[in-house]
Amino acid sequence: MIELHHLSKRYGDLTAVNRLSLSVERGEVFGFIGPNGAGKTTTLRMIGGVLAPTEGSVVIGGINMAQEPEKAKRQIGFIPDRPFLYEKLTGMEFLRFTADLYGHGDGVFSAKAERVLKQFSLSDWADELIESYSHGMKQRLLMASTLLHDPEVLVIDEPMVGLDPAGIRMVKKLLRDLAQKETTIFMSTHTLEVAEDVCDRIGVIHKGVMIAIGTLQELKHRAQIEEGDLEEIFMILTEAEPTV
Amino acid sequence: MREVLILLKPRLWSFKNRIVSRTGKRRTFRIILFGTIGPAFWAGIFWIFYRLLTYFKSFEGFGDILAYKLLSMALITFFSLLLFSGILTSLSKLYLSKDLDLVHAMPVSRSKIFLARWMESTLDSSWMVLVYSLPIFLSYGLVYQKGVIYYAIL
Repeated sequence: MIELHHLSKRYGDLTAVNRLSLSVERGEVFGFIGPNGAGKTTTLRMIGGVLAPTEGSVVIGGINMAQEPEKAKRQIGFIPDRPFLYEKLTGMEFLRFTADLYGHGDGVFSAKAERVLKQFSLSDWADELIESYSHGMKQRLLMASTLLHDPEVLVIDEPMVGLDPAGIRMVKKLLRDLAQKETTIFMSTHTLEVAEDVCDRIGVIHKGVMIAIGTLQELKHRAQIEEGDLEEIFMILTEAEPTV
Repeated sequence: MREVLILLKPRLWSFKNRIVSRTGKRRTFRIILFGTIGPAFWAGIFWIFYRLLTYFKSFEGFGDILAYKLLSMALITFFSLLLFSGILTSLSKLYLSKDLDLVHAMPVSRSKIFLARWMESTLDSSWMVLVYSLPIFLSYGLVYQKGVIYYAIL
């Protein structure tokens, strides 16, 4: 469902992402972990179609992002790490705006909007200005707007930032439910416990290079440890310099 | 064009909500402030230019040249204001807006995003100049008794 072919992004002399290639199957939850500045957000922004790669290509459901960006983006729900919401709009107006752009504004909008608002416990706040929402509520509204058009691919950068324990539990459940419904999820996170709980496969990126990829068991094997959690694996794998 | 109009909606809805959400004393104060100062300033410009142009017109031959030079100066000033204001607004709208990531992640072409931003920045950078240049051109038209075409071009 998501294919990255030799994806690179360079800013002058700095190589943020270096010839990254991977494939994520339909209904798979793929976790992307790595230290700060490893290239996670840059990769996700390229998959979301927000940033153009210097080299390589992003293919979403067989559609090349560079050749047919609108068609590819129509299949994606993208949640950035620092999401923006129009503070002077109400929650419902924001949903209407996104639905209109995805072409779901007529007929089905009201029912869909009510469904996602209820799902994210925002029904009572639908007609309030977004500026009065808490951080967690803003995060939930953004997720609601992203799921409004039933995307086949969900790209999420740090999904748990700013959420309380109940919110984290809700998002984890949501991700599992979506994966069961064949939605492909590509997420980056610093919360290794979440990656361990939710992801089918995990990729470890360091200095722009994918240094390990696989299931938790495969990563343990790669890190040459019998016991231990993802945090330990992460520390062992990122200690060594990547080979380019 | 439909997508361009959708891209402009948050701006229009935010404007509407700003007006509706202001309540009580603050709202009344702002209405009184902008409702009096704005028109007073507009009327002041009109009065000054009307008097000035009437005075110029009283000089046979030479007055017309003075009025022409005054109009030229006003036009150059407005052009400079529009140019600088347009550059600053366009740069901020096209490169610094906080919602750029959001709209670029949506299924809408870059050309339509550009068109929507261009329309916004054109309006933002020029509405004030247009509103406050109107009394100058209006006084010119009245003093020199211009016809319908002049006001139509205006």
